[in-house]
Amino acid sequence: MRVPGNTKRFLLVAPALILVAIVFLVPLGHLVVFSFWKAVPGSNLPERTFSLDNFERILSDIYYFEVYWRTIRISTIATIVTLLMGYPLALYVSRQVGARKSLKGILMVLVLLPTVGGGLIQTLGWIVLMLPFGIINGTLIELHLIERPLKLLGKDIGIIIGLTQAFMPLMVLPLVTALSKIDAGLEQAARSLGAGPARVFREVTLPLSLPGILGGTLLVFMAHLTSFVTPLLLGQGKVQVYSTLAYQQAIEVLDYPFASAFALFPFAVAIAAWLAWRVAKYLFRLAVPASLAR
Amino acid sequence: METRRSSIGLVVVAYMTLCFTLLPIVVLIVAAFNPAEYFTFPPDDWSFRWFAAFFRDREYQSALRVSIALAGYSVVIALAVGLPATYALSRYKFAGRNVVHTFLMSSLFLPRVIWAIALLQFYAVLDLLGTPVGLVMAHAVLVLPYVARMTLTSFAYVSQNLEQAARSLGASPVRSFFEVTLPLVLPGVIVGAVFGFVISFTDVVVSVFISGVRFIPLLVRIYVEQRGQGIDPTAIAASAVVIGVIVILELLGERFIRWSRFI
Repeated sequence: MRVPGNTKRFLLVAPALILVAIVFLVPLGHLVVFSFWKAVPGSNLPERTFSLDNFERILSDIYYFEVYWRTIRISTIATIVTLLMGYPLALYVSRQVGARKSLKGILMVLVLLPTVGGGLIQTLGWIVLMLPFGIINGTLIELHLIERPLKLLGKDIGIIIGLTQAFMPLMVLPLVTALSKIDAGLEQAARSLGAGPARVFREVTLPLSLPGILGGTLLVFMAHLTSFVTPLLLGQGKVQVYSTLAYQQAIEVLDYPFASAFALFPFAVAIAAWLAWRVAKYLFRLAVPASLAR
Repeated sequence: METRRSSIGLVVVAYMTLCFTLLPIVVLIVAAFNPAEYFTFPPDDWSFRWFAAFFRDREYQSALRVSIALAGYSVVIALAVGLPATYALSRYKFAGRNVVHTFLMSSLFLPRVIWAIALLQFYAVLDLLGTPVGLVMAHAVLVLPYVARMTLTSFAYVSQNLEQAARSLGASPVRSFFEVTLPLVLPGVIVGAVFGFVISFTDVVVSVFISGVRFIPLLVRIYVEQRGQGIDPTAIAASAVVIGVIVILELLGERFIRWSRFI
């Protein structure tokens, strides 16, 4: 269907499309292409011939696998802690209704503070807290809970603490949304039928908030996997994760093609797994008649 | 609605999480007032020494100017391309609407660090690394989703009848946009602009990859100081100033336009 207004509409959206194409899409395509090229030592520009060398290097050296694995491990632990800490907060915030609506507003502002502050500033706060004779260690020694300062910086644990704090809003927001939608009458009904608070939570509140749990967990996990500033500063160069290794390869080693391949490899694996699953499902349907499969 | 009472346990755990979330931010602000070279807690004394150092230091001041200019220009560009596009999205049905919407939001979908690596390589080829043009274009795309989301919401709130009334009274489409629609969506546009400004100002990931050595935004400067010499008190004071301004903006925004409903 072609109406005269089409050109006008196109002109309205064209500048935005062009800008995004130049600064976003083309560089991404470029990144994919780069990952199949090979770096030339001492030059910004790689050798422009197709090769799988970068991917071979990732697969052949256990070190890179360890970096991926550490990233997944740290992110998983931090995401679980974020969920366990964020859920009670979200539940409490979502219950501030009616006369206590203004308290909900204040709580939301405070909850959102880490998002608007950006990643760097809070990470500096964590460094002040985590230094060998910083606040955490100082307090613990003062209380005679430990004798020597704990090593938090440059260790997985420091990064996990930092990540848990930095992305808490991404967990709490979807949870508050999901929990606020639950009809209070349902919980009251369950209680009036004799269910204790624990049972009401387990059988009514928790199942109904599942969309929020899933959404928040996914958002936070993705954010943890690809976070950059927190592991870079709290890892102190001693803990390499996905983003810091890619950064090191790009900025310090200047091996752009390898940095590209390393950054893209997890996505390639994810896409390959998804395709394999689809193909397997398709083959399964072909091989097994529908009546048998059921 | 009836107010529900929460058990003491829930209240305690909820506020513990909240304190944990705010802890590093509060500590940073307290640490900025510490007069000594090395931080002790609780501080022995209070002073503005490091704030003065921040406002006197020429490198920090030029970084601050770079950041403000960068955020300002990128928001202006994001508005210049985003306003017409979101207007078209909210007023017309056309083939590829979803594609346009996805384009506007695209920088949200990909982890910033991957985009930053892609930009680094692409800019190296185009010789745009460390240039103001390169930085502003990247930040314009970075803030575009935030600006576009606010303007889309605002356009949706403005009744098309008002525009049609203006048109039927003889105003040209351009005039009806500038005299009827724009004033009505202005609050949303301003929220979007402020939000975009903060997003650009607090970005480290994209900037650290592409900013080079001549135009260094404030947060990249703070980050570099960190890596260089452990904890630099001036960097802490600079961070405290940034977080202070953001908190004030956030409180003002919440007080006057309840911006948290936009998120």
